[in-house]
Amino acid sequence: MTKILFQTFICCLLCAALHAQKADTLEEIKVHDRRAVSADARINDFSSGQKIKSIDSTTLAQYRMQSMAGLLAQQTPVFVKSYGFNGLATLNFRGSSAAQSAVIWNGIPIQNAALGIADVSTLPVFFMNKVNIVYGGSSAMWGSGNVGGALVMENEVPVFDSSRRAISSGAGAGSFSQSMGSFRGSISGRRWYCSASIFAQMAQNDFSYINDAGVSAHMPNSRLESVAALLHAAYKIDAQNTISLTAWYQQYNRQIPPELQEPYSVKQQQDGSLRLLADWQRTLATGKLYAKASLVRDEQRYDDSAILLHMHNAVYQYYQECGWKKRWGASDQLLVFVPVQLSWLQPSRAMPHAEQRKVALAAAYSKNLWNRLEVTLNARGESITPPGGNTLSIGYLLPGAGVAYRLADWLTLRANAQKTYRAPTLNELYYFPGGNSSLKPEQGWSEDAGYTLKSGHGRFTFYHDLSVFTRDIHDWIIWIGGAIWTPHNIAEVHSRGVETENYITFKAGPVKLHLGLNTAYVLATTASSYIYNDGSVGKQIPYTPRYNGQLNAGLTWGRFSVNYNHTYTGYRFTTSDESYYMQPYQTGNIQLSYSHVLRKDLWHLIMQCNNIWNERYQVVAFRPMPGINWLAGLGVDIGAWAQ
Amino acid sequence: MARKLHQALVFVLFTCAAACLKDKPATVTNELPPAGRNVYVICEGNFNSHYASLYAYQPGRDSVFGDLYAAANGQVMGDVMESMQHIGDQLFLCVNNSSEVAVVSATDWKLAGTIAISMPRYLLPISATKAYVSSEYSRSVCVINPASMTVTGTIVMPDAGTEGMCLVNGTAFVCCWDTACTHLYKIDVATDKIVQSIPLPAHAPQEVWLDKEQMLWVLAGDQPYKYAASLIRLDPSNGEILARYQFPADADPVKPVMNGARDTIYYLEAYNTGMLGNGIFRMGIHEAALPAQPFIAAHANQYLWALGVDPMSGDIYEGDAKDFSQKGTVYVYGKDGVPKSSFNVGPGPGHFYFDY
Repeated sequence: MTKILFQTFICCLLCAALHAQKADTLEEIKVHDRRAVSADARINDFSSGQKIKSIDSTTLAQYRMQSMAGLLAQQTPVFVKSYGFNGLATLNFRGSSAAQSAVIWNGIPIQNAALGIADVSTLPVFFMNKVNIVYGGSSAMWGSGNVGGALVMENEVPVFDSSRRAISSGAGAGSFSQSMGSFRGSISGRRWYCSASIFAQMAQNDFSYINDAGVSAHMPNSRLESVAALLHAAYKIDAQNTISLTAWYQQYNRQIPPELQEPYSVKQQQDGSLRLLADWQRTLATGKLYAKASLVRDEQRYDDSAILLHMHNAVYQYYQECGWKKRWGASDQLLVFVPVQLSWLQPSRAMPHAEQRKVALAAAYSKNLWNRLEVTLNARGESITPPGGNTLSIGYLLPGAGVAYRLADWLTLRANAQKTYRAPTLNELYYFPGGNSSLKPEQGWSEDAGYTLKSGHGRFTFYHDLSVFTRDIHDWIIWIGGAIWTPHNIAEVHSRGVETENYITFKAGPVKLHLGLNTAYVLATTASSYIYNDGSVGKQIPYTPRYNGQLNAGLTWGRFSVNYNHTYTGYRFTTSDESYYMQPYQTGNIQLSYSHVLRKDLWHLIMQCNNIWNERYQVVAFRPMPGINWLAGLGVDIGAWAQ
Repeated sequence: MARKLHQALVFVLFTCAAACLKDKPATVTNELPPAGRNVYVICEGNFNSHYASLYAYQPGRDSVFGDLYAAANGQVMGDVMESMQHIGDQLFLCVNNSSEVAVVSATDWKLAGTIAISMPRYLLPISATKAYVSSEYSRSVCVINPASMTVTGTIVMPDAGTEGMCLVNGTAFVCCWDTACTHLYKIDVATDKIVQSIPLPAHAPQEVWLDKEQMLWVLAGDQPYKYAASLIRLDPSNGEILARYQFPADADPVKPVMNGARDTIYYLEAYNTGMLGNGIFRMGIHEAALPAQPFIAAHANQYLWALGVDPMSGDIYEGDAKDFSQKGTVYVYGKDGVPKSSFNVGPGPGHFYFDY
């Protein structure tokens, strides 16, 4: 029934688009173009019909001392599955698993190739200039692993300006002995650009919590030390050609605190990541050519001396992409690109030999009609070697299409349908013991439709966006087992739901008030299963809240801004048959920022108070989260005001 | 413009009304059983999920009760309950990944105390004041006093991963389920000293038990780590190997149990890491070869993880853990293999304990 309703809705959208072509009177000419929210053409020019949420620069600045996990959990309907204050945090888009959520940095995937997931608690917001959330799968554009959505992060685009010098630094401190420092400097000439960013933090994270015996205690074994550095150099060869090199290294050393049922923990984890990216771009009169190559090395050490467990693995991922973008007139664009991805593991006892190769040809065509209708068609043919443990390559065709129609200046309708898939990861295929080399990729279709309503009246502005989505994934991979866990293709999962994004602003003299509300209603249920007498059929998949929402209310007054953020996360089932569940939780968070010019320097003061209602909650069962806590930072952009 | 705003408001209200499914799950009440003979179902839960639970099935009433621990104590038991033993008027529950032995009353299941032991696996009662507890990953057997619920000593073992144990005439036989181990260790329970290391023609001894002729059986091997499984019969008095049954390289026999007469062995066998070719096998203690076909074949994609044979009726109990992330199902068969009944229990049923 849901499918029929959805198809009817799509038909209505298309009928509305056709009906609009019959207008025969001259209308006022207005030029509409989308604001470039990304340097990635896949987002800017070939995402018609997809919901994309751009995190604005003010919000990014407010969270510059935090990780992506904190930003996304408080500001987006994406469910961030956090294993405690000092633990792994993964993404759940619209009921997808962590491995079905792509994380893209400057156009390259950075999920750990062995695990297929990215720990967003180790991605510092400070490094990113643009952050976009792409909702829904689009494997044609983003490749394997983009089933539920994608987190797309970008660094600053090089600016070739000989008068530009920028230095900014900051330091912060907070509860639980948190301290952090940051530095960013950039210098450029007419032909070259260099920037360096460093972010370091330490924390004891010894917050108080109620332990298993009902007694208040301080969280033991939860120290964090991390340092991250990002270097970026670019050279403008001539007016058309630019090359750039980016290196991002980070090291996170974390103690893993005990779960509530554990009497103690001596677990430690060290994550080191090196990401190198070389990029060439050639600007053409009607488009551009580009090529990029990257090497990502993720190393992880895990030690639990209590059970004599010592693990060390290093996984490499080479990714290259060559592409050509062409524009014809003002309405037609074509993007053709060839991504190649090689993943392999440093041989170890757990995985003596494991590699995977993916080669694809992808294309997207976008057409703008009557300055109202945007249509995008895209497709990817991808070959994986060796899928399923044999040496023969298997090909997959991943088509997709999207349409957006501006029905009125204040109302835009959109819809899209995409084939989506996720290839099994190296761990799923080869981990010893338990890997299953006969796994098939998860695949299915993802469809969504919605509208955006934008209006302004005097001092009011109003924004409302609604998305309805549905997705069927076959051969869903789940790890199961008693002594030895093994992944199996065991289920078909149907996800569907409604998301809204709403805000209003009101200007009263120098004061701008804002009120925003994001809501998400997600049903992600097992549609069918190979398991005998499976009790999970028809039940919500674990750790997918049906309801979650975020409210933001605040004001900006000159260089002062204050925001109250309130989040609600509904019941999460922790078993596949809904027999166990976790209570909903709400958190209240306040962000304050103030900028002040002193001589030629711009000073920023940021203060945050998180969980101000001191809610006792857990995101993942038996992993308590901290109560009320604060964070304060002071930063300066040297000479920024003069420039 | 006002009209536009009005329309916008209608849109928003429509949207807000769209989501209507009740979010709060139904409350589940756990019942405690009346007095009677209990077949306890030891449910591991899913590893790291803390859903270990204890269920009781009363065959006479064909009724199941549980989660007993949660009902009696208002809290979850912990992570991965591996085994249990009835000593005196108390039940000793080995909660493996919570590194504790929880002690509860055998009549009302209320928690009496806990004994901290690293990754406990099995408990071997020796007397009212002494029991051994094997400990996964460690090179030791813990000695506890069940009466005082304290650890009274440690027996250092030559190999790691202490596992199955069996008491025979004042000596304990202990397996170390490490692939480096090729011996069965004999401990004098009076002195807590290893008195003999019995060489085995196989690696990784896992389980040891006694048949009706007072001969020991050892299940050895670790198929996922490429150590093929063996079933070995030996004389506990001198360590002589009486029989050896070699499993195929891809077979993974687990959970061996005996019937009440102790003349027939039952075990679960899994091929392809548990999802296919699974089933209940049985063989007499004097069989010349392993059974070729299962006595009760599993359904496709059934994950059998618990096996028990009622010592009085001979009924066969099998536990299907499914994906370990949902309630498991127990199927009861008569001793002739004919289905009798089934019932749901907690996630990950792993063992049965017949408390008769």
